[in-house]
Amino acid sequence: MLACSLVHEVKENLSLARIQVIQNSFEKFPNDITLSQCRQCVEPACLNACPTGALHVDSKHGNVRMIDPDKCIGCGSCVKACAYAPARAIWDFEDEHAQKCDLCADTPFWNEQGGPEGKQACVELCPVAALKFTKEIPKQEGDDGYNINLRGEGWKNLGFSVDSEKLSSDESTEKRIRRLPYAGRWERHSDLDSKEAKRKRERK
Amino acid sequence: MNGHSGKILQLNLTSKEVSTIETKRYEQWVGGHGMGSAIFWDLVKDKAISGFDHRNVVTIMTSPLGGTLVPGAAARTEVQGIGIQSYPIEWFTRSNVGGRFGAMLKYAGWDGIVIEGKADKPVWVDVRNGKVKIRDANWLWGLDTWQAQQMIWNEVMKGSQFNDWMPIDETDETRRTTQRPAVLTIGPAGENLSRTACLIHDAGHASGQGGFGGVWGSKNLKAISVIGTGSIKIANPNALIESRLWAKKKYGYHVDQEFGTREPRIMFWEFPRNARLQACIGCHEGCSNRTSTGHGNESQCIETLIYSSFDREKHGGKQTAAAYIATDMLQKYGINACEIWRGLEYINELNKLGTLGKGKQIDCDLPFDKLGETEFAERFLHMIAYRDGIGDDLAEGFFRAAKKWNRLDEDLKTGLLRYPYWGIPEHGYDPRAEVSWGYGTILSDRDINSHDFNFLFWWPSSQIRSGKTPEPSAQWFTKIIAEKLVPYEGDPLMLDYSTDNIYSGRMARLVAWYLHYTRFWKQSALYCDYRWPDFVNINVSDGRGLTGEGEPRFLNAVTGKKYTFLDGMMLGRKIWNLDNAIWTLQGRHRDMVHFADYIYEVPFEKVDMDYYLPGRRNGEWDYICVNDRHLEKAKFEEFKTTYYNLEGWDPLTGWPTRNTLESLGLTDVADTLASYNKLGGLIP
Repeated sequence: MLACSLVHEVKENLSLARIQVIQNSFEKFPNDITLSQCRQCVEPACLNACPTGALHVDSKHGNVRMIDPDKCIGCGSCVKACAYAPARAIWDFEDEHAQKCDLCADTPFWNEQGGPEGKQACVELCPVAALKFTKEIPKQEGDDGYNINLRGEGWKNLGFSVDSEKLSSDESTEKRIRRLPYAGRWERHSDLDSKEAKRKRERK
Repeated sequence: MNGHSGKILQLNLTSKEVSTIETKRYEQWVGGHGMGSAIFWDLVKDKAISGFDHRNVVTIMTSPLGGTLVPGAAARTEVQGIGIQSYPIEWFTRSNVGGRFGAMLKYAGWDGIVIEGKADKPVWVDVRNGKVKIRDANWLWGLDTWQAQQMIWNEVMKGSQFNDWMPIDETDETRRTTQRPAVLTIGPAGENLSRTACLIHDAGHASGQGGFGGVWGSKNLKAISVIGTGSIKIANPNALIESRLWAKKKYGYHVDQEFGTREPRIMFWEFPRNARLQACIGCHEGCSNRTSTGHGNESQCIETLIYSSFDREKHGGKQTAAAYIATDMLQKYGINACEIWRGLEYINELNKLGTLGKGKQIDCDLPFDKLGETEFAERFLHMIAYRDGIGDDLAEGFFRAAKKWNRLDEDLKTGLLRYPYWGIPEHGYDPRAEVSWGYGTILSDRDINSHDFNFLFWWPSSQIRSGKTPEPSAQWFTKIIAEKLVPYEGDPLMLDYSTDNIYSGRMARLVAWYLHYTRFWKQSALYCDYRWPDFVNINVSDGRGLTGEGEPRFLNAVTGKKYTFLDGMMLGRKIWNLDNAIWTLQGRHRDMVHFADYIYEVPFEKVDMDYYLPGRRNGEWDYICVNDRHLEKAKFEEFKTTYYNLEGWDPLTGWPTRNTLESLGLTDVADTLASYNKLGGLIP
């Protein structure tokens, strides 16, 4: 959310982020987080509801569904038309026009090529690889096509279940603390100082 | 300054007046602790009052980095004021809290909150963007911290299901959010004025040390709720996002590189596998988790230590749900985990000695035969929160309880009561072993709680315990770290923990660096203690972490200023001097700056593993075992003189001097100290 509002709006504002993450501290995993990203729908209700063509299929950017703020008249039809809650089309109350995810096709404050052929700030910035861009159209009915298990080796190495089936049933714990919290993993670099010593010897 | 919202919220609970302080007035301090100390200095005329006094002022400050993409910095929020935990003087102290409270405060348009006075009846504060109301809290008083937060969520968002866009103010339907209000609250322990009470936010984020929960309770303040839909301006968004990606790629701030150097989850109980990492807002890694059982959500570090060993001991080495449930209860009652950790160890020892228990000298009806079971934890924590029976003594903190039981002198002499400094529980890094932690604490107001150098113990000690030779070598680590100890850089001998060096001028410089770095970069700019500094990093070919470059790089991207790392260190020194001026007015003198007797008289005994640190033996670097060491009182006296001289303070009293204060731009502070006849003399 922070990356999204930053690259699009030059400011940090959770309400202007085009991806929304809703959390409940007291809820059990996995229901503690709801991730709401624009689906770039095959049949976009938001686009169909727009009376001015502000919300359009942008052929210059791989057919991403995006809004031209100059054409937006502020009717809010796209926000109301979105079939999902929270609506993925949002009202930018600071600049007074509708806005939605453009896959970072138009990011005036980020020196990267965005859009379907480029990079998306949320994907690039996510430190836990929880977001992935795909050109394959996911299953449109329900949430299954979008809520998929992306946990890989990194998660596994940290002691988390990564298997989709176990994700819903595994109640086990690591039988010992994996690594002491402040100790680090220096075994991977145990030769750091010996390399340096070797270089010194070579210089001599 | 970019990154600031521009206003600080001032609440007078006595008059119910809500007013504003322009952030610009305190901009020189950047944020967090510096701003909090300066505001406290200005508003509290008599600094020698009790923390319970209605004239005590509590500040809750964010920084320009709050609510931004800066890794490990967006969430921290500094809480300050006169605490009620320390002894013999209730020092002006600090604690800080993560989660999303500080960020939400900024989105609501506020850089901080200043709490003055005392309400005549329980109140809570409802902040929705610029609209602030001090409201009746009779309906919340008595609720635990989790209940109170959820009740406030529902009150503010009017029964929303929290799965859609919601207006936060009925007069403006366009400003909407999907987020829950961020609430900082006290539980029953705070309401009952316990010195062990803390402030809780979400499931497990706490402002723990200092007893601020009891301070809020004394002010009849139950909670502050904040929800905002505003913006934080960033001076150079491209620089910020590029810096974040630089940290991710070069320094491994990503799950596939296991977040750089350290284990992300700081938990001392068994790790639930069916869980997710839980991060504070904006952070690049989670240090706690949320689990499929819902137990232990968001708790970490000492919170996970309070009961896990008793649980395992009771259940034949197997951990059960009792450890997690005990911690959840701790968070709900709003009790300080450090006190419970060392306190429970203490009364368990007294029970084994036959001194404390049912019908014993210290009469206590706790069922010690159930220690390790949920039943015991519930009874123990409940009695503290509600001052039930002997819980009335324990709610004063275990140090004061020992004093009431006439055991204090004896138990501090033997070390049975592990409270080595200022009546504060020992944090796990014993002053006799890791002297930098101990010195940094006794020269301040509370356990330093800054984990900068702890890996120099954890890494070699854990390797040696496993029968391995720790590599890289002590010489390598100290060389790399020493490069970053600006303005004392390039002297690895500062990191020599051998007994010959621990009273030296070099150790004094290490401690000064430690305190100044912490006061500015961690507690004012508000980089998270767990993530920063990054001295050494395994993802970089030469092992050098981003500290020195990273801190100012991110700060400047947000603010558009040109701070250097050294600028921050100098600001840290300035803040440190202001704090010492406050402590001086509270009654501090070098003569009282001492550890408990056992630190000088009883050799340090290892707990789980031998305690190794880098040091020199016969002129050669090695990891040396510092078990069995105790400090020498006379040598520590000499060390204090060396340290005070280094800081430019009067070595006879430990008070700041005019020369030093004026050189830091604190002439008004010098004048005030002079008016109280508390200005240090010239350095000989």
